Amino acid sequence: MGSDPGPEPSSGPVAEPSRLRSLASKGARALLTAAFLTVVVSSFTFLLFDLLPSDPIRVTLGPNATDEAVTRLRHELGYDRPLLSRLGIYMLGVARLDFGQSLVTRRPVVKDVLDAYVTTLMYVGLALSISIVGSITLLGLARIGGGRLQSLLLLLTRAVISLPSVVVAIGVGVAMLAVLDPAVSYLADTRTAVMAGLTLAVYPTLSLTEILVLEGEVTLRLPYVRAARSFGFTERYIFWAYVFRSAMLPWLAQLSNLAASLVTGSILVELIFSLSGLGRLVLQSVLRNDSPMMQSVVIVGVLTFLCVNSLTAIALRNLYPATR
Amino acid sequence: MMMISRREVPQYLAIALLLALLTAGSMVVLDRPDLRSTLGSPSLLHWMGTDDLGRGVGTRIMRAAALSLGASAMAWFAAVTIGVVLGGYSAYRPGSWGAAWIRWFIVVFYTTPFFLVVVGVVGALGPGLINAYVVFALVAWAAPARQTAAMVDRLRQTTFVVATQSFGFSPAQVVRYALAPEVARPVIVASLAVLPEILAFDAALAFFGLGAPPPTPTIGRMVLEGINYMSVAWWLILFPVAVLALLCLAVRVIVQGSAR
Repeated sequence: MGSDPGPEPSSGPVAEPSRLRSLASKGARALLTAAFLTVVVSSFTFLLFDLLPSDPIRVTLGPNATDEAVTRLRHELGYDRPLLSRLGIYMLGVARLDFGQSLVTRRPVVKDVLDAYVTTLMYVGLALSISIVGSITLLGLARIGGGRLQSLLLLLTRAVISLPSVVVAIGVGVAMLAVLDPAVSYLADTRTAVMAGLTLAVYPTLSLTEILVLEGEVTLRLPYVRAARSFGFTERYIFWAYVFRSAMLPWLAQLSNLAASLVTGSILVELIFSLSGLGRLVLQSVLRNDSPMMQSVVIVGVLTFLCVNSLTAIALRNLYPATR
Repeated sequence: MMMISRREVPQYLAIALLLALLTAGSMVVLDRPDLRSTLGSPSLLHWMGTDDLGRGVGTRIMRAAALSLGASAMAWFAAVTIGVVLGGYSAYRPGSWGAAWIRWFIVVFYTTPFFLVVVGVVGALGPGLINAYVVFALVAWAAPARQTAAMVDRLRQTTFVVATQSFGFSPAQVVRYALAPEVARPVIVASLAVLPEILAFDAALAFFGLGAPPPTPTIGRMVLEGINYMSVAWWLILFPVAVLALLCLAVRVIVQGSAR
């Protein structure tokens, strides 16, 4: 399956100076867009949290704090400055990758957020890889197994993906805990991360498989496939060289749609498997009303999401010029 | 008498199930904590077992499901209303004041994963069912708004809308007689598909501890508590997850039926 006996494109693109220059300008534009988005997202988040009718300082100090103590801490942390000046200070900090300090631990939030981010990225990346490889493998199995296996697979996929991804993640996670080992504390970190990745991967894998199978079925009926058949190409070659390639277009689009559900799912999965990623950090900061921490998690999450979206958009544009 | 074809049976069954859950859930009497019967397995008296405080799981699940359904439906209605009004306005009067801003907000709200934002905002405002749903309605309006805007964009140039305008009908009349009948059904059907997501979202928020505060039962918190007791009391985790899945499936069946 993996080997592709298709003919090589006759002339590969050669990097000419003008091409390099356009690539450089594209890169510069992408960087500028990223910087602009960071500014927009950060200031939007900052304002959002600032405009909320809750007083983080008072909450931090507790209900018994004197007005004097609240005023002192507010002054210490710069919360008594006017809104625009605080926004300016915050944005200057963001430019230096300084997202302020936690109201609870009084440490810079960047380190905690980055640590959690790496954990989350690890198993979300695992989940993403599993869904990419898994969906293509399942498609391959359906091709080998023939019609009956394919309809069985479609039935299973439809049943699962008609539920919201969050519900699937909860169900699979709980089932996995019940079957593998209820005593989570004994599990090594990696094993837990793998279980979390597997749990998170179920919904996207099945959803991507459905798209590949259905799209394949539709494409197999198109005239150019019939033409290829009449030229004497084997069924297998036609499928993997032509049909599969065209099915990858909706597949990629769906992959980017799934990014949002992965973000949500990851938070739940962390709670189920007691992982210390971004989700746990959000929960902690929400419960302690640690707004600088919450802000930076939201900023990191939104930026990652936008990144994934634009990456898939670029991939789509380059793989399928017709979508430009 | 109205005939129900065989294809529609699942749809009506799902509607009946949801209505039954709603009525039963709002009428059922919740048990008081009873420390003599904690973690009891399913029995004739408590057919879904009892929880760590000796309360019947079945009645709590029914109440939680009814609350979740009612609140989700309201949040959905609010989101769709906001979305249709704003999206329709921005598309019907493209050059008017605020239309460009509305378009911009639709794009921003549509492309951002708002679960994180909602969790943060609800956390800052304080947990509670009302807060969660107000915030949810404020972010979920973008999808119906986008769809309405796209449809009105297309319809605005069609002959029958132009004809209605040239007959001298007022904008309100054009909307009422030419646009609304065309836009309403597809928008409602498409946005109904979001309802299971709202139910799941509600469960997720409660899972986070941001749903209605205890002792009000929520499916999400029951799942979370069930995980803690998983090795000793399987019924605490099985039934909430199953009911949540059933709820979402029932809504999905209704949506698919109405899309035909």
